[in-house]
Amino acid sequence: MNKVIEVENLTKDYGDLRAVDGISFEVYRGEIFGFLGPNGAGKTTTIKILTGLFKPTAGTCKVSGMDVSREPMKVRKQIGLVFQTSSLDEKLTGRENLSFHSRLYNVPRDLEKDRIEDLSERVGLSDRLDERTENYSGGMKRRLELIRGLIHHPKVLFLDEPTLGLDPQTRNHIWDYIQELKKEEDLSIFLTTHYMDEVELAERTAVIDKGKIIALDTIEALKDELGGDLVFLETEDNEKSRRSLEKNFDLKVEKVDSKLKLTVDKGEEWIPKLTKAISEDIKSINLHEPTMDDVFLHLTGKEIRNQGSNDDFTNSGGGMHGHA
Amino acid sequence: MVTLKHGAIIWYREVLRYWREKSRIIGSLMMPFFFLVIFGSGLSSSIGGMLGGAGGMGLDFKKFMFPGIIGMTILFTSISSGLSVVRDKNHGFLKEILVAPVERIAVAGGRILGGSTVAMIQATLLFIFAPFVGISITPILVLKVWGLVLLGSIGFTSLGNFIGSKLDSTEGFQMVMNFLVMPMFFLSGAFFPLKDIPIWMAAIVRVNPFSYLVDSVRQIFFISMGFTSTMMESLPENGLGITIFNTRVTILMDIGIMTFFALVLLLFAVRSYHQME
Repeated sequence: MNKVIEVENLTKDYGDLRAVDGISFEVYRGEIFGFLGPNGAGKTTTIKILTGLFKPTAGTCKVSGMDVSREPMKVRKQIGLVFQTSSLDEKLTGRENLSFHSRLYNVPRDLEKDRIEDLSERVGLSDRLDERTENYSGGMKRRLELIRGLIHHPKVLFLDEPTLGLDPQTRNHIWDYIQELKKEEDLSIFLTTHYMDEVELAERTAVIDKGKIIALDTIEALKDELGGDLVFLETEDNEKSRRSLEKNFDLKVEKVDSKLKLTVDKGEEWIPKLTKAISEDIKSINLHEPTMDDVFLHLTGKEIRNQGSNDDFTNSGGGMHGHA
Repeated sequence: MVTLKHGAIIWYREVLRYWREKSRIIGSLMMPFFFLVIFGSGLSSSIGGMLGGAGGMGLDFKKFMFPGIIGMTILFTSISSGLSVVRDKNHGFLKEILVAPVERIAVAGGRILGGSTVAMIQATLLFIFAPFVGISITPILVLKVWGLVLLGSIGFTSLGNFIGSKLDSTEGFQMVMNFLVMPMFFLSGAFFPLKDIPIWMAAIVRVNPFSYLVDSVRQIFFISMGFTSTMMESLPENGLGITIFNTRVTILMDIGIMTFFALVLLLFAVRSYHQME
């Protein structure tokens, strides 16, 4: 079984609104699959269908070979979920939250104890496990939810905006833990996010906009569509430099403000070549590798941070999230 | 079997949460306490007359009201269990339960029985006021009352869960308490004898399921107090019982009506859990 998720022509309507519009994709065993799009693009709806909470209007989805609509209970045993917003019982301790989850997923009691010890050790929560989760910080809650989603050894872990509302430092920690945990579990990850830097960790990414998948590929391939890296160069005499560059290399050189812009493959290898070819003094030179921001802009003609959002959480840099 | 186990763990969480909120336990004893001490003592002399011939039965206002207070506790606590549905929705914990490989009937059953258990504990605690009221408690009386309030609380927790499943805010739930639960309480005979009341009020009392819980618990208390069958027959004349088509509603009829209500409300609640997404 190489495909853990198979989605074909999935469509979901809410009245007149088509939230998900005939999407198809596959997620392979062991990969991190990114699902990138602005708020309201259909990400959460897709997750809700894949977890059997919503019935699709049309299309099929299978998780580890089982049809979600036909065998929702079997499918649910195979998946773990970390929700966009906290889903802990704050009046219960961390251990009680984990234990409640184990019982619901029929984890045998003798295994449950070891599993809880092991997982909480790995995310550094062992010594806080008997405290009520209302006393946890935002990052601790996320870590607890993360390992809760793994207790029953799921095949697929759904991470729905797993670092929403966390400060950048905590986000990085959470990602370290996710990658650490993934090493030791036989796990595929379905990740939805609108943080560009988070999909950089995914093997493949689907870009979703207005309910449709508008691109699906590896990050590198998506970036390659942009035609390569950008090098910005400023010299004592831009015009002279431009001429010598165009003479020496088969390159298109554009003038942007006080700088020269070159679109090249493997920009880091070009920089030494360029500096040798130019006799003028170089004032500045810098390399801009395309980001997922650029990819999204290229694909949709708009920036992800400026649309469909009611809040300011869509900043890809993550600097605006305070309440951890 | 698995479904039963799931129901049990969900039940356990409800009870554990109740146990964690000890202030809620004490707090919820305050209202019955005020009713009995302030209303009971303050109104005993003036309302004593309203009890009419029943006064001759050795009945005073506190004794009259005590079964109503037990009923009130069952009603309020049971319906409030719907608030925990709203709270779980807002805190996101409901999602954790809804995506688990658990049949919805186990979720509904566990929550409803959990709410009933809490209501039963609350109602049982009220027996500590019995000596103050002048009612002697026997194990058999407690057992009978338990049976009745269990039936009642299953119906009312079902109602609470049903309402909770439809609402998104605790404020909305507060409205329900004001516009549904308070009238149910006041128009049931829990608080004052149903004597010489207007026809519209008498009609509401008869369709109010809570009336039958109060009536049955009260009759159990009266029997335990040694009321003769003639005295029991004359209860409706004194505003202490309910008649339907000129027939006195007996405990068995109360149980029948309550069972009917409980089943219907239970059905609604289970259905609403099935519809949750």
